[in-house]
Amino acid sequence: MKIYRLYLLLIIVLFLTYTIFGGNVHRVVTNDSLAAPSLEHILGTDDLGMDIFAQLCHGGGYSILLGGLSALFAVVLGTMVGVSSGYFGGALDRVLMAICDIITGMPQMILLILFGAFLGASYFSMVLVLALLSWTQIARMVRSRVIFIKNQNYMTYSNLFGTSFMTILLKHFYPALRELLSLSFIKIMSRSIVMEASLAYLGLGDPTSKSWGMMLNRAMAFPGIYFTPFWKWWVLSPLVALMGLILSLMILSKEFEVVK
Amino acid sequence: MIRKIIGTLIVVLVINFFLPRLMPGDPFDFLSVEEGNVTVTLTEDQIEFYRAYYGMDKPLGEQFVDYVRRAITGDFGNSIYYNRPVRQMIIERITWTFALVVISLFVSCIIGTAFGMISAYYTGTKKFLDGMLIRIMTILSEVPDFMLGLLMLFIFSAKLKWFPLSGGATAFAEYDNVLEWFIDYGTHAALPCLVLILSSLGDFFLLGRQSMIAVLREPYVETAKAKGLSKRRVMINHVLVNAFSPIIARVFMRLGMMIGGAVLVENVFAYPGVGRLMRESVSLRDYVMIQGVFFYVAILVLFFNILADLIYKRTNKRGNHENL
Repeated sequence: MKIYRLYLLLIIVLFLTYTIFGGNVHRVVTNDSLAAPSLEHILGTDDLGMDIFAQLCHGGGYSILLGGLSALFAVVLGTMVGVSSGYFGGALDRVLMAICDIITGMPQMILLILFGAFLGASYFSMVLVLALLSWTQIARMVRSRVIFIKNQNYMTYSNLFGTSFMTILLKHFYPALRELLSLSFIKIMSRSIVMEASLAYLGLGDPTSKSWGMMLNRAMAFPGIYFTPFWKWWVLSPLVALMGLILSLMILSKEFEVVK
Repeated sequence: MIRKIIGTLIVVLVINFFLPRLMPGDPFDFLSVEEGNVTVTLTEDQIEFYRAYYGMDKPLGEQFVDYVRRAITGDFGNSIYYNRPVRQMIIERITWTFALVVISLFVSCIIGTAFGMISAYYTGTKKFLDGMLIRIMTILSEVPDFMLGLLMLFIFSAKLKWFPLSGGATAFAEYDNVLEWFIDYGTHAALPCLVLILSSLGDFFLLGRQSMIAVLREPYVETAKAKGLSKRRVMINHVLVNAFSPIIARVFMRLGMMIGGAVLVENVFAYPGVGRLMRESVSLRDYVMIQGVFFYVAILVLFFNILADLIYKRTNKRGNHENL
């Protein structure tokens, strides 16, 4: 399984480097539009003659970076809320948990569409919205874990010694939460990637971007996509790539669960 | 509980009021431009008239009070783009979504629980079967529903031509008898239903399995086995009945979730549900409609969440296996 993790890491790094340093190959308009896969264009071209393989490579890094960033924000926010809610308790706990309840009680997809439309779907706002919609689960898990640790005997001793909050946080809470957080990180990352792709597929994503969802949206908007052979490379390739990425993340998260 | 409901309602109302107003674009600018045309068709006076008609010329505070009053009665007035009462349109569209979601949840709950029962029964003995089922179900629950939908659309509708490509029924069709009506609506709903069934199957499977494994450890199951009851009798009369309360609660929770969450599947199959209405009205900048849809869907989700809570408490009298 170690090899699998290395392999996934390699793919992620490749995707990210391509997206960040790869330039604009995916935007180059060539003369042969809607070409079938050939040696020149491995996965063919779309209606504007842009190479689909280049778009696929670019979109991969886009999705991974977006998912990773929003998961990072969600984990940080969720941990902060969970620890303060569980450790300090009282009115703060009630307020924070009420906010959690309210966010989980709302229709997520509709809210996402609303926010996506309102914030203009730029890259950073997308990351923020996705993080805002997914931190509640972590906060609740962290809170219950923190309350459990707080009531242990060693914590009473630790308090008697006058340990500072920072030390408790780093020495007692962090080791106990580390696995839980890395597991949630992967899960939220995969969920964010799906949500971004969904939003882009609906045509509410960043229109200047070339994410996998956006590719799907463009392909499905092409008139007669159902009746021509183009869908075999134009629709199928982002679809398969997305499924592959999500299933890989799923396997990774299962592995973490087993280790835990 | 009550505080949670009121809190959610207030947040829904506030978000619902401010977000559309902060959205880029103006509904009347949008209305006054015809597709593929750059000339403006509405005059300044007409735009002023519409603005006054929808109460958008008033100060924000007054608009908010007005809006809360309308929200309480559930009547949001006429849509900006469709020129029809918002409530009527939403109720029309929600029926489609509701039918789709209820049918697929019902089927998926039954199939998922049945597989869960099989898996729970063979947990210790036939590891291969149990493991395979878990793997398949986890993959099914992870794959996003709209991708499954796209794949099926291309395979079953475009290639094999078993099902129609899009829509909820054949346009302008006249039916001679009930059977014809049923077949037309059924073939249109089949693929979206199938996708929704598959995407919630894994959830019910895992929940049912976990819940039944917990029940299988109970002493009364041992007693039932000792009485010499048949395996089927034990599994259905003792295990399933006692493991069912979290499952039925989950059905109602998912019911609320899926009414809003079916947006994507509806869009893939161009099914005339409420999610499609939402997506259309966002691109048309139809504030009134967006507000209406969000309000009604949020209320429904809240309602079903409360119902799920109540049902869980009612059916689970002994209060065991609370961690589920």
